[in-house]
Amino acid sequence: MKNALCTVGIVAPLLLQTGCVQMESVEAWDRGYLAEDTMQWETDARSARLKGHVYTSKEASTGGSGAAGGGCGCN
Amino acid sequence: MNPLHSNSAFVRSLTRTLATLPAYQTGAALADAPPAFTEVGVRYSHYSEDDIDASSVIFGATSRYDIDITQLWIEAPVGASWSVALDVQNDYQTGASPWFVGTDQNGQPGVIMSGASIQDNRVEVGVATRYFWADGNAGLNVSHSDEDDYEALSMAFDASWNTAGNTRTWTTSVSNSRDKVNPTQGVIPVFVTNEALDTQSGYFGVSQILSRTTIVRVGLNYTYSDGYLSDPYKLNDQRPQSHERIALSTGYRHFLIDANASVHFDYRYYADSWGVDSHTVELGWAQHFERTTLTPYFRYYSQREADFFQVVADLNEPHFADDYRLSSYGAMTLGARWAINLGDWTFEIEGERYWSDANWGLYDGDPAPALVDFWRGTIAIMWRFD
Amino acid sequence: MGGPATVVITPPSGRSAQTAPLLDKLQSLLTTLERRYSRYLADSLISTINTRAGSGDFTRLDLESETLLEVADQLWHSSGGLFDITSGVLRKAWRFDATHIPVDVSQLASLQDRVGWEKVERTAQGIHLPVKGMEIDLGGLVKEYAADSAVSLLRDHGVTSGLIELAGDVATIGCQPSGAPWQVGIRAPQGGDPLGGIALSSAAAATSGNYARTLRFEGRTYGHLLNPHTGWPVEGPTSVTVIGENCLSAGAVSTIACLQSPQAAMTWLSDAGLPWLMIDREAVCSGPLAAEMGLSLT
Repeated sequence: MKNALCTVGIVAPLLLQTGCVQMESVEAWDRGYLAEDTMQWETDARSARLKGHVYTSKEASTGGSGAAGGGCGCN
Repeated sequence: MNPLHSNSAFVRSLTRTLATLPAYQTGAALADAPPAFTEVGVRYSHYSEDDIDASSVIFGATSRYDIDITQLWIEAPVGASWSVALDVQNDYQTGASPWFVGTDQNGQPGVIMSGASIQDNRVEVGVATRYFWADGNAGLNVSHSDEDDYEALSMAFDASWNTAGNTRTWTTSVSNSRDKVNPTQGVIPVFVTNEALDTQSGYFGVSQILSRTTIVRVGLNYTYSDGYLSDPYKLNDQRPQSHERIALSTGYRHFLIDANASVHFDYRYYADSWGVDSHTVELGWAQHFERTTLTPYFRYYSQREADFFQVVADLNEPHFADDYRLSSYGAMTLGARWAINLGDWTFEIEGERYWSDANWGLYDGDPAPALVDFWRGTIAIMWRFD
Repeated sequence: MGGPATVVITPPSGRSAQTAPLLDKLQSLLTTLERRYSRYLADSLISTINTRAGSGDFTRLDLESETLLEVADQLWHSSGGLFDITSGVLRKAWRFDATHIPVDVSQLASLQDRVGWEKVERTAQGIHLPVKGMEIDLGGLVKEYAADSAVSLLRDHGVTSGLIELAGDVATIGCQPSGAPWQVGIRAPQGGDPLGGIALSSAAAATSGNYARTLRFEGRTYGHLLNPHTGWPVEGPTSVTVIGENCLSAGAVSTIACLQSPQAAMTWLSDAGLPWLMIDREAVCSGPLAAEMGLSLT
């Protein structure tokens, strides 16, 4: 797991720094598409929490979408 | 609801076309702001596991968990810079689960299920508040979860801020949970009373707008738990007293203008101090129609077994578990979500089916006999008003 | 734009000396738009495009005209072809004076060849009307765009309370100096006292209708909006008023409503999701604004 941590710590910032990620500047008034509800990271916070809750209690993995978790007796 | 904000496809696409002209650009739109409306919602889900294969069972019933989950919430803006939310969730669970894995007369592993069906009700109440300023927002969330045999108190803090002309958003969060385990005697004999565990978790991530139709993000999550981490309802389960976990996640969203749909991709890599590794890939396609959105989705998951996992637990080892959730396996989910928007009201129906199989994973390992398949159905109603 | 204009502004505090220059800028903005988009001025962009019809010469467009034509295209799509900025030539076949049979049917048939937005060629080179005699007319859209541009200009100069009215379309900034919303009267189709008033605050109201020029023929009343498919006047509602965030959006909704039968217009208007008022040919008022204005819904 330590190896994984090291790899992750280097790769993530690199992706942003290097030109392998193409970025355009987008004017404030041209954000219409980005503002669509289906373009958000979670369509609905509660729905995402429910799904996460189900998977976390049936699988060995946690985390991934941002906020750190709360507790329950699921595992 | 602001009467001048029309939800109709016609007005929205006209607004997008006009947005290129200076006359229609208002500079002030950028400040992070609380939602413009109050939202009240209810969501009901039914989760049902397939019966376990009779050939995998040595003793006990074959039916597994059924859970009814009800979520109620209200979220409202307060003044110009704050919002508050109250969430209440109730989980009602019945059914049997694997107690331990033994071997039958042929030496084949098989499951001994818990005797009678359990009945457990959990209530979780959470209160959250959020503060907004021009370039970001921050939130505090406190929640308490209560059931017969488990109690948890958690607190989480998160903050986001925008940079690079608002094309980049940094997010961080930390949380803490204090849990108390007091297993109920009766359905299966338990040998544990009054235990506790603590969990700390932190997240750091960044999201970047790549174009007017594309956004990506990457994030890292670290969680540390210590205390009583075993499953008290499993006979042969003795896990380490500490657990370190990391998850690296990436996401991609792209809007296809001609198709009037957005495409979703999410990937998570997970690894922990118990030897579990996993990969999760999620794909979705959100198709817009006049008033509704249909989003079919697919998820693939594959995990590597924990170091101390054995199909039939080896009680001579310092740590052991036969819980199928710590075995090597792969799983797939197919689901779809249908959202209908009628002015201030939104209705949602969602359904998914999950299949798991020891042969579908990317990692080797002995197959646990109790892998579960389930389906989940959800309906939700939301009302927004101001 | 060929219509009356009213501007009321409250100068930003401490800057009353700037009112006159600001009104000059506004006048200059409206004149510029007129020069660019008027059909009647020989050297306007629109006239240039129209003169080149059938010649093979494309006319290059700037961002503003490109976008306005894109809006016209969107309205054509959303209205099932009823909103068509090439349909103006059909008017040549109609006479709106009472002494003659109002339409020359054979002329109408030949004019149909010169109508059809789907025929218009738009490429990176610009725009070209492929049939000689084809004409485009952006009059309606430009009038609403002018009101919105005026509002934007005033806001940029710090005006937080103002009202601009151009030939029946109204756009407002903030409220009246007293703090009360602007009160805009809705005229009655037959003239006389206004039917009622609507309150606007940083909102726009656009009115489309068939009442300005009508003709009675064989017992029916026709307005001046023509159906591009048939060449005949639309038997639409007498007038429709829509409130929106800006004049162009509100006007798009109200214009398309007026091109349909009152029945179809009601469905269109309620789907559009903006507050509306419709007066049909029997002078019956309907729509959420009617209730707000206290008009009887009989």
